[in-house]
Amino acid sequence: MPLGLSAETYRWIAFPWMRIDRPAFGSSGHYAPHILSVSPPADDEGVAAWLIGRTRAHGLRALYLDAGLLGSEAEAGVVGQSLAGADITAVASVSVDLTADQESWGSPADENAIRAARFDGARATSLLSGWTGPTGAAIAVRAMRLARAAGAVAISLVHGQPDRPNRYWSDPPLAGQLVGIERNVRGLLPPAEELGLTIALEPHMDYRAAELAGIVTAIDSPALRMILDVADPLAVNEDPLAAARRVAPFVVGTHLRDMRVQHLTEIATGTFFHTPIGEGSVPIREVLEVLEEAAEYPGDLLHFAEIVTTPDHDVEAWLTAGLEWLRANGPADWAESAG
Amino acid sequence: MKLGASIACYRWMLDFHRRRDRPEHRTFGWRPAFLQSASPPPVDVPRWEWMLKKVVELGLEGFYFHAIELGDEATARAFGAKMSANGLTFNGGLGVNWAASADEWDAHDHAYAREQIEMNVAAGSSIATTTHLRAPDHNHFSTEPPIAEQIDRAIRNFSTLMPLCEAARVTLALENHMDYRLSEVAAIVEGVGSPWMKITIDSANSFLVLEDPLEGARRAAPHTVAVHLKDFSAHPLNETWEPEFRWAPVGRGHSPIAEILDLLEAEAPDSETLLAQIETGPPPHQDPDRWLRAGIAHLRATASDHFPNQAI
Repeated sequence: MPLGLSAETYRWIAFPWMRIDRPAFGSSGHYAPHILSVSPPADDEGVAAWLIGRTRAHGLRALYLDAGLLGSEAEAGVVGQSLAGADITAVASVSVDLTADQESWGSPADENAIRAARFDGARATSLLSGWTGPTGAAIAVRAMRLARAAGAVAISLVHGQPDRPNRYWSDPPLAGQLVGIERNVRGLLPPAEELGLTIALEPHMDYRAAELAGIVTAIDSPALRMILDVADPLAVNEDPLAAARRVAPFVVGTHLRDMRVQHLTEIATGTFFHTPIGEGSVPIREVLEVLEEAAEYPGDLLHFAEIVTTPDHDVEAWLTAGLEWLRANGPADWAESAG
Repeated sequence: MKLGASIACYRWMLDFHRRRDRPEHRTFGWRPAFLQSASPPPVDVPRWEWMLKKVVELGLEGFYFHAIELGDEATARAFGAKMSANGLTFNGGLGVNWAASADEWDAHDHAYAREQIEMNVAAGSSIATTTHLRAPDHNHFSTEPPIAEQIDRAIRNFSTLMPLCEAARVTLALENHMDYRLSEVAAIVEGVGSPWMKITIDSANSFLVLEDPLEGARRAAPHTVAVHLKDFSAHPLNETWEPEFRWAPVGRGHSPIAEILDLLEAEAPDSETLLAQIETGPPPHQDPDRWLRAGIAHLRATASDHFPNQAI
């Protein structure tokens, strides 16, 4: 049950389009992180290489990152060699509109479209992916090939983005959205199997885990699994422990992060705050127990610490504290993996 | 159903400690309120007097607040008479330490609950929405004591009030008040097992305890005698990945209000007398009167089958 790092932990530090040392950050409305105990990647250092370094520094054995950070297929191959050399298992992700209609989704066998699909960091923002391409299927297949080149074992399909439907949209209604997701994901299974990749559906502040689990159940393929972000249910009004129970048989990995639900506030709408792992309202210990009992291959689960903070925090300090908590409260082999 | 409003709609205008016309309001950093369509009463005028006139003006059938605010029995009786004279129904209320330990309950919480119930009765309330006074300490997320023990304590505590409620013919209607799930409130009501112990559903508060509002309402509907119609818009994804709920006028958010009203029409013990109170408490710089009027207009346009007296 390897413990790993999600690249999103360092989103405000390492992602070129979000880095807090950009002059534009001053206009973001966020407080600056005046006290940081880790430096952003140097100008001549690739983000993926920097992330591998952070993974090793913390004694972690897995890395989750957007396939867009892998560069070209050749560059992804170099990243893959670094990962293999450090004995780090990778899972890649790609952001794509899973609800796209058939025309926008296109064919996963359209080579011209796949060649045209790419990740453009200049298009990316804190909320919008840099992935672009003629069709959704082309973007997904392009990312799968990059993932394979880097030796990733799975590719996570991430849908949630402000300009894409989510469970709260009424047009199209939720049921119609889920039908579209099932149709589009089903079409990606042949190329995934050809590449030897597992596809993982990942609720990402868009759908309940139970809603995507229904799709996994309906498609019923060993090549289609799920990644569970244990705090994500809070964004969609779902009980995290109930979500874990529902998806446990399909889960190949988790994002471990924590949030506090401040249910009573003066403004009377409640507030959700990021917290270091173990300080929030997500029952992480119980979720891990559920997965240990009900996952198909619990020993193979990849758990990625995803320490999301607002940008003013010292994320390195939060990550260190979170890993300490996980090593003290998680499976025994995590305690032995301290960096 | 009867359509009314919660006095909390005007919390930033009327609540003594929240009034935005206090000089100190500015020091809290709230945005200023401009272009308001209603003015608060002078500070020496009780807010319930202002609210009574307001609901008459709006054509509503009653309103909700906690009767202890009336201060003394004579005032409560006078208030009740005035409500009756205007054809209005008072949805009473009280705040109780639901999860008090036996010692705490016996030492003071029982007496305070009794005092409030008596004030509600004097004011003419037959349904008293009951909120949890110590929600910051005891709630769905707190673990000392665990939620199961909190429920057991609430069953014990409320059971001691039932003889008084029966004698006074007043029903306590426990509200999910951003503290417990409706499934937990229903467990308390079923544990007490008295016809004088029912539920006030809040249509948005479930969001804050990670409960689907409609699923919660399904669990609570057979026990429900009142409902707070509150709407929140859900914002699951934003830049910091900290999801948000925001106030919305009734009908403009994601609370399943239409579905809950249909559910209550079908499954509440007596949908005809069920008290529905609009409760929108927008941020202090917003215009609460326009928000409330928008909610009323929405319900008159879309839910007049539930509110026959409000049919346009």
